Amino acid sequence: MGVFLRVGGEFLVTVCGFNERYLEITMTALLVSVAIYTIMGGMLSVLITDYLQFVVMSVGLLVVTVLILYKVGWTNITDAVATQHGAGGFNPFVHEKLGYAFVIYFALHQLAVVLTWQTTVQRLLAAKDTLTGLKIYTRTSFFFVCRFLIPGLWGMAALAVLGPQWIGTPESLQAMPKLLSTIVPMGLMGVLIAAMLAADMSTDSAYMLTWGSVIYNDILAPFRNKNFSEKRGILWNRMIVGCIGIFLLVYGLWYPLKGNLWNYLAITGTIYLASMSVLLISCCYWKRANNWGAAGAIMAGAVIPITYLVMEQLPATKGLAARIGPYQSGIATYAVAWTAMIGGSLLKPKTETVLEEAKAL
Amino acid sequence: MTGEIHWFWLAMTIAVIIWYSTITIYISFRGAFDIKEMLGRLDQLAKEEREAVDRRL
Repeated sequence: MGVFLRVGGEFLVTVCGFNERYLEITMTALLVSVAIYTIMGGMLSVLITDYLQFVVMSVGLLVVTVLILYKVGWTNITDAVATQHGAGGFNPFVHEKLGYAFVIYFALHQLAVVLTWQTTVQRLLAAKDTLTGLKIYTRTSFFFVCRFLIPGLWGMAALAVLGPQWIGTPESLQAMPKLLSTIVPMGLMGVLIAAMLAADMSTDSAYMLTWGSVIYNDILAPFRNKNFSEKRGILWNRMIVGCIGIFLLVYGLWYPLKGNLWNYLAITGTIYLASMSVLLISCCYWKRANNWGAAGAIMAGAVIPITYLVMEQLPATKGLAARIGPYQSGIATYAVAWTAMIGGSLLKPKTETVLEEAKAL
Repeated sequence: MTGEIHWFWLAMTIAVIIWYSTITIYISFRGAFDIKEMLGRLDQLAKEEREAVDRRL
């Protein structure tokens, strides 16, 4: 989550043509403005600003997408992808670096995201009834196609206009903003910057608010002897949101953006997503699921991605990590989390479960 | 086969632009209406709470 602030800051700095030394100031200004309205206004201000930001962001995304198709052209875009990646550029199953492992891993990953990622679940929990909750999933499902296809199209246009020399370099993340800074005319640039600011700010505010509520309601709840008064609860929530803001800033300033950011986000996300999705499904649909299995799934779900990330950084194991690949390690994480959940739950003696249930009653 | 896949992605891109435009227009109007209604409801709730406190005093 700390990476988003840096990505947003770098995007804005590149698109606006600012000097890179203003990156930290841009990031800090962005975060401070978001933190102020999130801390002071809470859910209500995030809800209203999210609505306004969605409208501005969507208009910007649509206008720029149409402009890209008009200026760069569909044929030029597809020709550039075909020259660089062949048939694999259009079909992940035949791509030499992606293949079935990529598709299976991201199917598992996206399923876990819509089931358990806090910013997604927040919408479900805010629904007035079950029917509305179901509609959130069915009617917004195509929105996920938009979320992936539009930035993908912009990236493909960057490949067509700027050429393949950016691929695999540390600067590859700046290819798309570089393209936009060259093809978007002055007036529209204002709309684009407003759209990207809106996207970045709504992401940061939603993360601060939702993770703040998780920390307050789930992590701190066992340490509270009695319920806080409303005033005290709000004060605690504001302090937690402030601390998350500081974390975002420190991590964003410290973390250097590297080539394949998408895989990095997916692997770090798997530490949480693999175990939580396994827990949610098994605790809802399997009667034998218990705390031994849950603890096993949480530990197992964290071990593989962390080991993989460490292996990627160590010179001695870097080659092995590259041979295994991020997608295979991701699939293994889900498999091991499921095995630990089932194994741990079955290992716990039934008598102990019965005793715990009786004590809880 | 590659030509067919190009058509698939072109159709998908057009579908995305149409769908996204429709949703943006719908949410712009419906969202403004819903937020206005919600703020009105919250105002009414706050007013009722203030009146209840006044009555107790």
